[in-house]
Amino acid sequence: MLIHPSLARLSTLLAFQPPPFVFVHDPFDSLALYDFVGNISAGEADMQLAFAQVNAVECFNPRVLYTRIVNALAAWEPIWRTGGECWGGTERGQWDPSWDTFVETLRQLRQHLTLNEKGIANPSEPLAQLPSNEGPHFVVVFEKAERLKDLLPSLLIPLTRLSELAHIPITTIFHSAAPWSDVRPSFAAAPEPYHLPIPPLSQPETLHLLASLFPIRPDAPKISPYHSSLQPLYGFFIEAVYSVCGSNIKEPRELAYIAAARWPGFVSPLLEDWKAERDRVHGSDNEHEYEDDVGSHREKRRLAGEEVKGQRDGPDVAYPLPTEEGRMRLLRLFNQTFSSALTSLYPRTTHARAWARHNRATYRLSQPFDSHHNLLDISKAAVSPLSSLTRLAKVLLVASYVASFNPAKTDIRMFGRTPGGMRKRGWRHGPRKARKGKIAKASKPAARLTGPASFPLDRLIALYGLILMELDDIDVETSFAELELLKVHVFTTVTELVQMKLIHRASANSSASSHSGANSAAGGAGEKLEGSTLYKSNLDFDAGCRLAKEIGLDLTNLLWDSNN
Amino acid sequence: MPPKRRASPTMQGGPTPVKRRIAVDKTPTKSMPKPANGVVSASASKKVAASAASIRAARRKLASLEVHDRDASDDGLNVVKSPARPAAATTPTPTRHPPVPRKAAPPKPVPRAEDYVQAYPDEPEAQPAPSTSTNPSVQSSVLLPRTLPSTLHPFLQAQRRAILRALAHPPLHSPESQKAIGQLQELLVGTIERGEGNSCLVLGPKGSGKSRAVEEALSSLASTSYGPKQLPIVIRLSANAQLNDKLAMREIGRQLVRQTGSCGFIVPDDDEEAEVEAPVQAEDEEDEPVAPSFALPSQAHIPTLIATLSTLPRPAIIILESFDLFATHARQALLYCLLDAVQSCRAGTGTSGIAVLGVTTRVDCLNLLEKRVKSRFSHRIVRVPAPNALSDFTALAKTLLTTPIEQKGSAQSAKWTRMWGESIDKLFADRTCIKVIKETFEVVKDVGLLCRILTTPILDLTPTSPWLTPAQFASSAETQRCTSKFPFLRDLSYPCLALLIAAHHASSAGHETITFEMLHDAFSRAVSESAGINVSVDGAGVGMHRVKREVMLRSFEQLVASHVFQPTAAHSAVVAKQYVKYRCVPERDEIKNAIERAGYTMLKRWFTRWGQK
Repeated sequence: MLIHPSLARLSTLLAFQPPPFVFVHDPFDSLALYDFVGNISAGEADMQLAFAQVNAVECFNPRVLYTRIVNALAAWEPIWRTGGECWGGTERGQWDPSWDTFVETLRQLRQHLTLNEKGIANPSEPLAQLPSNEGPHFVVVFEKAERLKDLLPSLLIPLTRLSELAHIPITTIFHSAAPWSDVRPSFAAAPEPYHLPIPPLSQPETLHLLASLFPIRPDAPKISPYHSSLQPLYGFFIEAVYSVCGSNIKEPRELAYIAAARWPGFVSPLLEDWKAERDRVHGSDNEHEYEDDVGSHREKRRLAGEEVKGQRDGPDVAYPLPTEEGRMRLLRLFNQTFSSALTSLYPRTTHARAWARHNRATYRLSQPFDSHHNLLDISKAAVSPLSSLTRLAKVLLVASYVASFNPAKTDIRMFGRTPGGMRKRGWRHGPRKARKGKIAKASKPAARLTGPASFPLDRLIALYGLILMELDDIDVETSFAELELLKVHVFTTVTELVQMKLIHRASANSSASSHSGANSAAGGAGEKLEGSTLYKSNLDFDAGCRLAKEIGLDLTNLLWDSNN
Repeated sequence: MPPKRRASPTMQGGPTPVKRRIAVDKTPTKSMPKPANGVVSASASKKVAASAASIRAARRKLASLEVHDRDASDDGLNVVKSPARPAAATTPTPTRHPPVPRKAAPPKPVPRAEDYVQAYPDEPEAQPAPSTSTNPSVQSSVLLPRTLPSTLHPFLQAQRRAILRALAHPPLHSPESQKAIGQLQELLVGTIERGEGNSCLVLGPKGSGKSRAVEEALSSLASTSYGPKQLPIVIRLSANAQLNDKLAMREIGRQLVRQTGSCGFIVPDDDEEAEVEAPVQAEDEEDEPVAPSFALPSQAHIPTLIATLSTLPRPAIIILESFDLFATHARQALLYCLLDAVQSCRAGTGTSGIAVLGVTTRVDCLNLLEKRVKSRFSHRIVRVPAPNALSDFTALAKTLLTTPIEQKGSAQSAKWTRMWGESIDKLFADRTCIKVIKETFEVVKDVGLLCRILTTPILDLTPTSPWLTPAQFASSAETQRCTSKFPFLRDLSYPCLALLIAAHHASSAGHETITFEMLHDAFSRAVSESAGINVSVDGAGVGMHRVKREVMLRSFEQLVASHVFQPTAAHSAVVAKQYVKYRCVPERDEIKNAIERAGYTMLKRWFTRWGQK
């Protein structure tokens, strides 16, 4: 087990003299890959320590929190057959989830554990108070403790004062990414903790940590990405990943995620070579294709099990690790995919398995370089889901974008027409510049940057008509235009777009409350569209541009301050 | 002048006399700040009588030091001696006894950490053999080896353990807190022995030791020999846990049952209702094997509990932590009932006494009480002050750090004690260290904070770095006092720093609220501007790195998670995440420092360019 240097300090403190309250500030989530409890229990403690680690996100109500803590401290596993009974629960069910009962249960648990330790088997007799230096010392670790403030605000202060309220030796440890000043309750009601800041891992530390995560599988066949002989190459690979992603990512967990997704693909050219070598030696009777998909371990193991091991991994076949030159080749092949992994895996636009499947390499390391093109054009542009919309929906979406990002006052200047149908001049001038001599106020940031404004339905329909005019789809002179705009189909499409969340309802509750059950049961089809309902566009600029282009318009021409 | 100087060693005095000598030695030459040696505390003056004995002890100790010194120099090791003076110079003047450095190293005005740790490889076992030093002017203090010889490792460990123990329970030694404890004892004794009803408020700032004073008063009672009939029932309530009166009553019942039921005394049947029946009933109701004392008095009895407090066979002491919060409960019912019970408690009528101790930090606490509650309160206030002189504070720190270790008697342990005392003396002669203590004292006067500051350096001691250094001290103080809310800014990744700079520029332009779009827009502009610089070094452009939008967004989320950006409005499902409005929390200076220390040249340039425009 790896020991984090800062946690070593905490483990010493717990071993010598556990403080009542510790706050571990870990802004980079550096501890995510370490075993927290294992680390802090590593010290040679004077007293017996019992640990409980709970996640404040998971424990969303007092009952869950209390039972988790008590069960973990007692090393008690709830069993389904006995009704998931928690430690100290009565036959009729659980104990009631109040703070007092929780504290009382903790006391009893301590007494119980002490007696067990001493070998006294009859805890049902009333007991005198135990002296504080006997019995186990409890340590309760709260992960993501900043959430406690939102989820269980009334428990925050008691939890920080747990040791003085329970009158037993117990240490509360808050582990949080937020600073203490944002976690602590107001009015200084909590005692000040012992602060333990976790600095980010340095480069050598990160590399060491990531290299130690290489998942060696003892039962892995020789030709597999997780065979122990590949470990030196893994170290090299980790360095390469770090050199590309290290400046952008400081969280070791994210780096490990990228490394785990890329590694099977990274070694696959080498493994292909090995396979070819094996086939050459053993004859080509092994038809099994190696899969570099990270998710297909089970299948791989099945394949490995079917085959006779000796036949597959013959001792006479040498599997050499790549030379310096070979490693450079690998690096050149894969360097670009590291940054593509960064852009898609770090923001989790896709998951590791899907990404690895997309980016698998299907060639051998010993192949000439020119045949590796398939790796370089992997970044196919994803098909936008918006392009499958109808033309009417697209025009409505563009109209909604224009309505959200143009001030209402500018509509007449942007789209106003003379009675003859000609456009008024000067419609593309944008916001007026501040005159010289005037004291310049702080300029407002562009609407594109501050977010969409809400607009009523009428304005959307009007803009829809104007954009249709721009497209010369309808003639403004005819009364047919009016009919066209107020078709039921238009309203239905708006409703559909709202359902697809491409347009948001800004005033959701006001009209939802006016609908009775029968209407809302119809899937929103009966929702009232007229009136004061406000909407907001949920498109971003790029998507808006793309849609406008698809219907044959330039979005920047329709926007008031497009040049900002 | 002379009395002041005489007093200063006693004031600084810890248990070991060696330390005293050093402290005095350094006083004139190192120009220590005034408050450290200038103030004569009340406690110090009391100790003057004891000082004569310790001077004699110091001389004895010095003899052995000289031996040690001689041993070391005889070995021909490269030893740099610190300036030293004869043992007789307990009250020296700088003119008479100038420091005599033996080797080059001229005395520096501010000694640094490195100066303390002398080059001293595994030293020979220094036995205190009878020997005399010929030249008093070259007598040296104990030399502190840079790495600890293996024979002393157990002592270092024991010392750490002892100090950490002491830090967990700092003593309450100031005369004011002793007085407070005395008052509390008096009050409790009145309740227990004479059956009085007493109420009082324990008032003091945070961390001054109110609860400790109460506990100490209680434990002193436990040590006196009261019969089982007089041993008080102690009920502890805290408004932080018992959020309303109902919960508080339940807790009172529970604690009553636990204490009366578990002590095994027999209650007379006639005047007891609730407490006799309660355990029996409860145990009948809840027959659980592991949890016998889950028992509660039955619901019907809970409201009558307070009325029956005075009819208990033993006196009851009720401690109310966060007394001010109890005053916020509905109609202050609990306080009213308790104080009413106290008031109606008549001494000498055969009923047992009740004492209600409210513990609070709020000075205007009495004003919170309603008239009917206030009139039942005795208005007795026991104040527990925080240490009010810097010298007390420093002396406390020093006492804590020189906690004696348990293994005593051997020559090795004496040697260790000497060396440790020496290192602590050097630490306390340092300006940085004194500044840290002074700042801590001036800001909070919190003994708990002092202990937390002292903890980290003790934890970091290893055989390879066995002595405390002022630098450790200062960094620990910075951490524990949370001087900076975001100490990690300079370690942020490149996109995060870029976002911070963009936020900084936005606020310079008057936009205090920011969205991700604004920051990203500013960043991409900066990137394209810097790409316009047509210079390349070693074939690579010197412009700012381009970062993909998705990565920027994730980095932005990272900053939000670590609370560097805080939302200005409540979360709304309607607003897309790139348009959610945030506020950049770190101050300009913090951002500036972070950028300068992070080491990205182009970011630095982008940061400063704005100011020049």
